[in-house]
Amino acid sequence: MNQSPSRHSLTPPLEAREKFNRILTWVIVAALLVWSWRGAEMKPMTLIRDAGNIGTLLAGFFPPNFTDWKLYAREMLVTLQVAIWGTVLAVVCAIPLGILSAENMVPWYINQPVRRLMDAARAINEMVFAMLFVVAVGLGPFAGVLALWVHTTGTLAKLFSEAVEAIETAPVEGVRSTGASYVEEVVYGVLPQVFPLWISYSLYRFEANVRSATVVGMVGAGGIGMVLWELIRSFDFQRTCAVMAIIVLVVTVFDLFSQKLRKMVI
Amino acid sequence: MIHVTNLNKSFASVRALFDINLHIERGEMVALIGSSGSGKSTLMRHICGLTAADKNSGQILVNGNCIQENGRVSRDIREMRTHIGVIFQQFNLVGRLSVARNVCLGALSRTPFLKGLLGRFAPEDQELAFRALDRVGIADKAWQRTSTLSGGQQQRAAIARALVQKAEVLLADEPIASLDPESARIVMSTLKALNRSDGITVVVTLHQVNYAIEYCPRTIALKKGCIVYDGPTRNLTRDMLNELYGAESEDLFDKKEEEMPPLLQGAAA
Repeated sequence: MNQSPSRHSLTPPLEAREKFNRILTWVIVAALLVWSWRGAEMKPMTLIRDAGNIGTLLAGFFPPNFTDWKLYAREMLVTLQVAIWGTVLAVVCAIPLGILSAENMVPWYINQPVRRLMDAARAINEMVFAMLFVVAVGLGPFAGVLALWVHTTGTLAKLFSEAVEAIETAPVEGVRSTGASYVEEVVYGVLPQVFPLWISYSLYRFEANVRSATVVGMVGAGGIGMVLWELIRSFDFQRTCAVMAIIVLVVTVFDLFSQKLRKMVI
Repeated sequence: MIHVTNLNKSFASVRALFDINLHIERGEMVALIGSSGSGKSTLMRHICGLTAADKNSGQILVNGNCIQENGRVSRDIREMRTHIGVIFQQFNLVGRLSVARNVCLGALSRTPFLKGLLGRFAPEDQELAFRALDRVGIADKAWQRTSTLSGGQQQRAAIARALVQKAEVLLADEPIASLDPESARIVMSTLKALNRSDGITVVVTLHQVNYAIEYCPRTIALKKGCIVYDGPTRNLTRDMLNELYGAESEDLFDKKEEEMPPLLQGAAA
């Protein structure tokens, strides 16, 4: 410390308080970990005790059995198609809903209810929505599209509204000063400012939806997930391994592709 | 053309404008001067209806239309804004759109709703936009993204937008405050030319008296929210300004040209 502390100061020197805060933080973190250990029934010893079992299970995955690869490829394609429509519908809905949940665009009595609705859509996982939609519209990819649509709308609306809340007001005021209507203010003053971010967020969600679409199938909402579930249930691990390999490949390719694209728009 | 009666405004507990009364005739070119915080920008924002006055205020009339009364902005404000062009210090153009499109936005209010949303402006408005760009001397920049233009060029694009708006009144709020001296001169000359040839009423806030003396026959001086001088600019002497503003008056003169050593002047430009 360069400055000598004031002799008449009533607050303790900063250093001591900082030290105390640091110790307190560690105590809280440790307590949290211990507390969760019990709830999560952590039994690391079983990993060692049952190492043999796990080894046998893993061995069962190899060599992967690709004989039905044509079916897997077809179902993987369905999964991608589910992701595409789920994302596109969500983007279309998230544009108005994103603006309606932005603080600087609408009064609180509009943005608060819309936000809560979007929170709900986001809080519930795609899998849960998928189960519900399977009941509503029957087994198949359409239930998957609906599930991704609802969940992604919630996520994108929030991201979109955050972008809208960060805009500069000057250009909007400029458009307003020409006598433009409210909608015109949004279209010409707001949208051009948020567009690159919105595109980037949409691509990111598409990336995530390709991943999610592979699992919504497990509850009967079509695509590769359905195949995967059937194979796991019949303990056909060599085929399971082949399907997982295909999923990893496709998801990786799409991640890389969309990352490149996102870098281009920003 | 512009009538302001008993305008009062306070932000929280701070009073920004005290009982402002002013009257500007059609075709005048008026400078509104005062140091920062004197209320000139606030006054401008009231005249174009972007800010509402306090409840105990009178009327603001522009071209016979009531912009606001007793602190309530008129319901038809959007229609009225069409006749008032506003030039801002930070240009307030949409940076990602082309210059031509920004200028065309001036025609939004007379374009049918859906056509406006799709950017399908009437051919005569597009023609008008290019003529306006020509007049302000940046026709060659029409297709550039607006954010790539220099400050002076952007300000001229903003003036072109007001022209497309067919505004009868031009309110320029610190149009040259963030420009270098040369661009500032071009912008002021452009405003002067529009005032002379088209008879557009121009009100321009400045914090440098030099420009008022050069371009505006009439000056209104504000200090701490009150009008302290309203009359011909030529009667405004340096002694008078000293008397009105005391030590603050130094800020009103362009130091770049008068007092700064040459080295600093180069750095500022």
